[in-house]
Amino acid sequence: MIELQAFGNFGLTSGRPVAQSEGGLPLPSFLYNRRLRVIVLSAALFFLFVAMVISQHWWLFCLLPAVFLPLAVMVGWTSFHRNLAWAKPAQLLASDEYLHRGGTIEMLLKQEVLRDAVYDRIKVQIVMREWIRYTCGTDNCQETFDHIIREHEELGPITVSQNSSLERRIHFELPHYLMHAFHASDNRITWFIQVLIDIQGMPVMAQFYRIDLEPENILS
Amino acid sequence: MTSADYPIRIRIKEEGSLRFPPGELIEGLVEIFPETMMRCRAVDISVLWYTEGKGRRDEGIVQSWHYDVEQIGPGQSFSEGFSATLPSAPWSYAGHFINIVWVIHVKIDIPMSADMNREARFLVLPMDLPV
Repeated sequence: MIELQAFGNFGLTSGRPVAQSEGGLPLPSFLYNRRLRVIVLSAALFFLFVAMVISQHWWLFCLLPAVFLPLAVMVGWTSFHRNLAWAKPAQLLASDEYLHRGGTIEMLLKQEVLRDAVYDRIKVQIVMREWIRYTCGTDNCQETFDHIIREHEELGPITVSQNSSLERRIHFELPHYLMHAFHASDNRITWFIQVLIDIQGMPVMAQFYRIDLEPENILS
Repeated sequence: MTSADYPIRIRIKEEGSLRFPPGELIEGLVEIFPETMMRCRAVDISVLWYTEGKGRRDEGIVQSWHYDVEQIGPGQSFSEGFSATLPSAPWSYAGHFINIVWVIHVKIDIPMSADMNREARFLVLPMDLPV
């Protein structure tokens, strides 16, 4: 089995930037400890309150939201990213890195979870994508169209306990009428495998893996 | 003169259908037979593929031949054969946004006037693939 190379990112299906598994904003390391975070924030608030009382500038209380709101957003964002980190990016192994017309492909999907997880849906698709670039006004526009060639879908609930892995073996038989990959400047046909994973309490994750379908080398 | 009226005939040597497996030899004959004398500069014959569809056109010329010809007319017609080995890719394709078309293209370069173009389509597909 060959490990297929993931491209794009481990992330949300919206196509927005993505939550890297070890992501988050570069906050000072002590802020990642919840207890320390509470102590530091309480102390900061206390000393700010004392300073304002002593100086008798009560109007400064109005500035409190402006000071703490960005901090709260940063902490919340980091917490969101850290929540995503408990499910590692899925790993996809395949019997071949090339697809063959009329052939078969075996795949092994693995995903490690650091705490109990309930999967609602696992979907693996072999996709042939048409990509084009065209002129629209004075701009270059791009469009894609996906042909879903094969699809494997498993609906949950599938429970995976903490510090273990979800493992699924998937077998696809490929049709004879596949078109090979094609790379021209403004017209391209590409092949990839798309994995969609829906775990309860997490956004749906999409991962893409390169795979290729080259024309048989008839001239050789 | 519409393109259908062009005095250009492209004959592709085929066995039953205009379908060739990748790597195969394609042969044929180009004839130009105008009813009146026609001044021209050159005749170009090409074996090529191009894309059709929403995207901008991409093309690839497999082989081309250039003939310097000053005039073609009755009793002085143009007739040349062509022969080319097709590459292993791309195959003919009709998709959602992209079509890949293989053609024999003939262009008559006419001075001070629009060129005459004619093409004959054929398929490049492995024999076990449905059309």
